[in-house]
Amino acid sequence: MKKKYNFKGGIQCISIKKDPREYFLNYLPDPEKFFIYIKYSHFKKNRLRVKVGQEVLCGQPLTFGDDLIVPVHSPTSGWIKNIYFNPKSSDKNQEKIKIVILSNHLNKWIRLKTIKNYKTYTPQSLIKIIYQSGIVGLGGAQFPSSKKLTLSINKVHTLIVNGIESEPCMTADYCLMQNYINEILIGCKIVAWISKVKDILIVIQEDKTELILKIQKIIENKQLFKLCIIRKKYPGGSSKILIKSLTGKEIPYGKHSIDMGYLVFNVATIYAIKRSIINGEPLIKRIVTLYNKDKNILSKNFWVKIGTPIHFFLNYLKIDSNLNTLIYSGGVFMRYLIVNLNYSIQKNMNCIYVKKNKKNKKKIEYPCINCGYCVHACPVNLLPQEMFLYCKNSDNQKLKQLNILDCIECTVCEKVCPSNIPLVKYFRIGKKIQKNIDIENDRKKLFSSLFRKREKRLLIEKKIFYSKDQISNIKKLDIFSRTQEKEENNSINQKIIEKSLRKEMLKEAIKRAKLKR
Amino acid sequence: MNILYISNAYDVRKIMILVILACIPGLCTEIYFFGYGVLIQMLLFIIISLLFELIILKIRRKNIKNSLFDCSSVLTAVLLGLSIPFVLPWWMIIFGCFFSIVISKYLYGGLGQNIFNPAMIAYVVLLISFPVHMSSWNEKNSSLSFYKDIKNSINLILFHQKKYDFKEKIYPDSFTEATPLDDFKTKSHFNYDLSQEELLIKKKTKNVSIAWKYINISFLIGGLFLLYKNIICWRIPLSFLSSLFFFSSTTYFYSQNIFCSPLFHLFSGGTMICAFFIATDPVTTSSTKIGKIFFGSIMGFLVWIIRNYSDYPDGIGFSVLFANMIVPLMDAYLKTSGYGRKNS
Repeated sequence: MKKKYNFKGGIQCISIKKDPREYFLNYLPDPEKFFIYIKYSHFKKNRLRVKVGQEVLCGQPLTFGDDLIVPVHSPTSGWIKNIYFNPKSSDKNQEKIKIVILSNHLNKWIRLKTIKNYKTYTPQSLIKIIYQSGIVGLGGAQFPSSKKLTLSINKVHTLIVNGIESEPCMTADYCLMQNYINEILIGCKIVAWISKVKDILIVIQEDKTELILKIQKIIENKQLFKLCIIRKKYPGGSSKILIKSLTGKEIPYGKHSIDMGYLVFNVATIYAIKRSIINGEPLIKRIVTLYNKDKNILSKNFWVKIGTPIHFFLNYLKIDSNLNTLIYSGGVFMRYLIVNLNYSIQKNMNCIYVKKNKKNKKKIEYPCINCGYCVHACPVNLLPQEMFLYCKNSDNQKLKQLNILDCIECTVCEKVCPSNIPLVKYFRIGKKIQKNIDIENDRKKLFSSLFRKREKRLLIEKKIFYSKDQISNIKKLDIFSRTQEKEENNSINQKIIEKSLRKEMLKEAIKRAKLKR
Repeated sequence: MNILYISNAYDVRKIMILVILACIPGLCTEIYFFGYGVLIQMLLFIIISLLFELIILKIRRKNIKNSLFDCSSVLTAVLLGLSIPFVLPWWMIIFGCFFSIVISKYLYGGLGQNIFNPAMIAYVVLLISFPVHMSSWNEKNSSLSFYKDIKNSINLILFHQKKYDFKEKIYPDSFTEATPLDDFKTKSHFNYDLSQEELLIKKKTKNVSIAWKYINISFLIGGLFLLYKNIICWRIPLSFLSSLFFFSSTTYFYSQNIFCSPLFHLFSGGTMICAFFIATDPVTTSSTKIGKIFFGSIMGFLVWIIRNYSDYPDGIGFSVLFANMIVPLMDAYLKTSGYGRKNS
């Protein structure tokens, strides 16, 4: 058997037995309305390409891109019904645009530009195609992959294909690898050609034995590819921890994995890159798993177009969306509650998690007993229980010493905690405060440096002023100016000059006062 | 239990109950060797400490249902009852409970806030104030076999009526009632030759030492159960036992007449109950991995020193309290570096 890679910390999850029937990919019909949300920062407004009432084809770009934001494409053919600006944005810095598209159920595509031999193109032009087809990291980070590729050219020696789904209920990436493995390998080759990579590592968890055998058969004769098997533990999918478990090294603080020579891509992004370059399709749909906890329907996977509203998705599967059910985006561990069911499926949504709201069972929150389970479970080598103590007392200096900004919010400590303390809730607040403090410190440094410069400038101006006007004291100043030329940086001389200047100023003031009398 | 998918997920109450369950083999052997007095005393401890806790919770206006039934005070009572000889009168028990629950736990702010181990505080207070009672251990086959009756032991604890059967011969040891460690200490201080009477005593001490061996082994079994269940960390017991073994073996090889063998140190007195139940109390130990190893090794060193050079027979209570004092300092200086801070 091959070597299994492992990392410190984390928790082992009990594997759920699944039928092979669950892994078939299902299709979702088009809804009548699509809601597309676009974030843009306040200062760089990205302009819209469409107007209200205009007809749109499938795959037509709706916006111009930006340095940070890739263009967004329309998922269906139809016409634009309405465009709302800033509907209930939670963050003040990030405003939102909501575009409503009515579909005509025809799915007319725009003219697609296919490329058969990608090696005839330069890497820059290929990256431009990837940028224009609007591909972001589909693992959850939503970082534009075109930017990642431009940074990585001639810097990277290995490509890591991240096929790990450490959350127990998610199977979206596994489905994709089962069904489209050949296309993914082509996508890997394209990325390797763009950024001149020497090795390609495909990383899979140990419990997916069928897939491992399947990939081993395909890979056997190819030298570029390697298969790595990783232990099934929870936060194994995070890129920081993946690199640590594969290589044993940690990414230095404030740097990216590209600086170490590793390029990490999710499987879904690589599939999307292949689709965009060879088939010419922009990123319109993705695989989403649905996990319903109470009915024991294990995960089912769907091709869902980006922009389909969630209530349509739930209604199609006949799931009641009352007040009694809670709907989360994300898996068991990392999840965010969806309050607004009109919210649509975004590019970073892997999974939708449905759970009944049980009000009778209340967990008792005991005080922290310092048991140290969280310390053992923490994958990034932190001390959660001490961080919790200082977060509660809002001791910001101690929090900085404990490196709270390294926390990846994987919620392992929260699940392990025997006292049922919502630890990550506290850490999020603490991290926000720390970031604000850092920004303030930077500002203070900038302003203090500016202030010092201004003082220097004023001193020099005064010197010039007095050297010009005072004829009687020219001789004295000359001597000082000569010494200044000799040793410009000598601080003692400067002090003497200042003293003499002040004395002169005082004398002048006394003279003036006498004259006035 | 938070969710289905985690194999080892515990509640605070569940942890406490499992630790109490792991005490059962040790309790059974103590009952076998010393009679039912142990059990009666333990029940008294539990009831009185719960009463004290209820009074204090009412005074402090806290949620009684949550904090009374988290079983933490029951656990301290059980540990105190196991580490204290069973012939104490009732007012001494109340005194001990007052110190363990009120002063060392709730004056510091309740569960999770105390600096010192509550069971050991009570033990040390009782040991300092009533040294004669606290060093009186008996065994089954001695002249004082009437402890095996429930009635006699209740009489002894509640009314403190000591009735001796004067038909049997009284050896000097039945008055002093020494543990093997105590016996060893007296021998090392006064070098005298063995007479015929004292040979008889020696036989008896052998029996006592065998009893202690069995008690220690049963506590070891309970501790291994806790380790298997992943409730306690292996670092503290291993470092404690290994450091004790190391120091005692060095002195044993230096001279075998003055010092005891390392195995004797490991399987006598309260070593095993200390290693697996008392020292691993999560609240008063340091939370880092290196800190735990330091904590255990310091305790082992102190136990070895107190057993060999001080006037007290067993130094576990003092060593635990001293190590607890160092814990805040260790927590302040032994910190883990975060992710990727080592290189930069």
